[in-house]
Amino acid sequence: MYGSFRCTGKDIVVELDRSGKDILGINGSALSKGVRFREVFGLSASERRKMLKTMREDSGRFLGEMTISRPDGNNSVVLISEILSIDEGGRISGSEGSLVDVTLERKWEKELFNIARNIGGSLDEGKIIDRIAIDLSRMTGCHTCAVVMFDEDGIKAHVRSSRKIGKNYIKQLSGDISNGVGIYLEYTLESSDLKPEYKILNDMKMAPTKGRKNIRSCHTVPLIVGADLMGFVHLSKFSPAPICERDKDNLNICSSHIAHALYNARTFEKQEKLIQMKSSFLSNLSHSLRTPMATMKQSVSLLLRGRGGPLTEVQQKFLGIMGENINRLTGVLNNLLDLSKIEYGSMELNRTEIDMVLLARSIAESFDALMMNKGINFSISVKPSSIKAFVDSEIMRQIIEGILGNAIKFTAKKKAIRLNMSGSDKRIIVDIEDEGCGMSRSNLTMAFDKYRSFQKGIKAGVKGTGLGLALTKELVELHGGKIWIESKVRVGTKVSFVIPKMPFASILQEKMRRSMELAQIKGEGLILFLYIANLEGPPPTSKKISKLRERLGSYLGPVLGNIDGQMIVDEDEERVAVIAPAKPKNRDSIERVIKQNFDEILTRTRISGNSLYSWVIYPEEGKTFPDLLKALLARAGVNRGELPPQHRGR
Amino acid sequence: MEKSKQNGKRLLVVDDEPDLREAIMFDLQLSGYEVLSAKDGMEGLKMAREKDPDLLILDLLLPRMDGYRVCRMLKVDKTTESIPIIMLTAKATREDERLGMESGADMYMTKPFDPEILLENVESLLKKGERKRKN
Repeated sequence: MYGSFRCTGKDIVVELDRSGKDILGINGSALSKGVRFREVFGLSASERRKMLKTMREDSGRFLGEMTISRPDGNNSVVLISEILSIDEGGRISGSEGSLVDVTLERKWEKELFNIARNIGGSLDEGKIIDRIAIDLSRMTGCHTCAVVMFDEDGIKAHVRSSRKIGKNYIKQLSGDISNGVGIYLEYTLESSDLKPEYKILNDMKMAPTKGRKNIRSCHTVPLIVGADLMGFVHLSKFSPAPICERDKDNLNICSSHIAHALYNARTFEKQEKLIQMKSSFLSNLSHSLRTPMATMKQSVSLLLRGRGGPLTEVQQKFLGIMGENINRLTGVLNNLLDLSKIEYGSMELNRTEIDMVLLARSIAESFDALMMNKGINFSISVKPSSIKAFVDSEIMRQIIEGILGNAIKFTAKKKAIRLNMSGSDKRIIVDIEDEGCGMSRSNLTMAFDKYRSFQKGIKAGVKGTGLGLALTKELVELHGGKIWIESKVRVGTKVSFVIPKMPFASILQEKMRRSMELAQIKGEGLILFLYIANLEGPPPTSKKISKLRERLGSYLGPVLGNIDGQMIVDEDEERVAVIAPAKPKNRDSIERVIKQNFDEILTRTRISGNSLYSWVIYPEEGKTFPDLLKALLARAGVNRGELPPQHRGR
Repeated sequence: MEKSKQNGKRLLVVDDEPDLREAIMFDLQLSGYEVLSAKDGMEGLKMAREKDPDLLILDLLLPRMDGYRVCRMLKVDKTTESIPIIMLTAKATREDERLGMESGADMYMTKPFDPEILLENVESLLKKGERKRKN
């Protein structure tokens, strides 16, 4: 194959061997015949010396770029970074590694991006392992691949994923570290930080042909995080062309990323398990506390109602205190349980359309007696007179009751509490303002902290669990809302929350339901495309949203047609969904175009925040909205059935 | 305690916790009901079939047979299907309640409960049952 480049103003044609590494000839003359430098460059002796000097100074630097045509019909771009060596007599000899094939480099660059996306988007260890077995063997052109992982103690190795590897070989690769599982670890573990027990692997060398006569070359990459060897990837080739050095280098580069991704996945899994354990511990605890509490409550109630005979005033008083405290315990228990359920992600909203004004009035009514007792002047103001919202009515009741209950608790006799509720097109704001004792700045900062009571400084005699506000916050956020507190000591406290009337997910579900009905009648398919930008950043500006609309229009337009009317935009959170008809014959091209256009955006946005895009085809990939959503999120590597919450960690 | 039959209603309390069982029975008896009790699911099912109670107060986590099962078995049987069942349980999640109602319970109350509300619920379910029978 041939290529040409310009060097110090001259055009030079180079002939390379099939691998593109060795230079066979320059400007039509074969090197093996001992071509003179002058003949090649057509320079005088002094010019030659000058050029030689420049070249030596430039050695290691990029000198030129040339395009060569390969026998397979593709063109390669080759960067000449280091000039061929030239002997004193002006003889040029080809030198290994003097030419860098950028096409291959670029291919690798792309592959590395792909790997980074494939493994970076997932926290599922098994999926990452399967993915790397496929990706690494494809990238290196290796015929077999095994991902071998050590267990948590770092002693036993298991083949977790393999391609074209027989049972016997798998057995050889698995086992106890001291019995030489590392015999296959041809790579010398140089990291001095590695725990001493892995040093045993240093002396062991691979026996490539043992049991596998057809293997011509192999390479093992260790997966190291800090001082731990998590496992290794073992690749081998049957073809005579060995695994090249560049592939080995690149494998070593990505091994560190893979190891860290696997480490993160393991840590995440452990953490999930812990949360699950905590949750089930709390639920067991709460269950075993409920029965004795019920027994106490029943007994106290019996006595208080005089079922055991008449009571003296003192008896009545203290039994009353007992009863109240049992109720308090129950409240703490319920809050704890709810919090752990939210943490574990098992709290589900049962949304229906309700009138928030009616709800607020009914809650206020239930506090009537309590407020009357304290002589609290309660007022409620709403605008407009009816505010419909799509919420979980029981949980919404819990939220308002929690805030109002607190306000009553901390407000002295004969003071005022005001509840304001106002609704706009999209959201509802509720404020509950009291003239209570107020909160100091330090109490305010940890008001929403879980498992921390901020009772210091609060007037004696006022009982709180320290959990109520933390729970209220979680419940508001579960509705896609936000909550905040303004407070001044001895002046009062204002707790406000805002929730969207109709959350993005519900609008999406509703639109999708209608589109599915229509598609069914027409006998068509649908594509649901979802783009979530900047998962962890601040809420977007309207300019940003309109830019996002434009960009999506230009990217999806070519395959989906004009999508202006089919976009569902969540202006608060920078989420956009597009529902469009998808005919069976153009589905492949839709997928291709989406992939092409969005991969780049994603790689870019991943760096700053966390974005995702995905799509799903109806009815092939799901017949109901939850199924479709699940498939859509799975395609993006998100393992859950709900849209990821915004601006939050988990 | 003397078993009075002023209003002629017979109730069955199935709970494995003896103290709670006793306290509930005491309260119900003083309200004028005849109260029977059982300490596990099997015994509860047997008594519900034999003694023909007017209402059942049923715990869920019971030895030998759980409350869901007892409830389902009573509700599929023509002779016992009309007995109102109040589930009185420490299982407090929405999912538990859904399962309870699906197994055929008429009412679901979580522990710790308000004893006065239990009495009210017993009364209202008995009245409802009476109306059904009259119709």
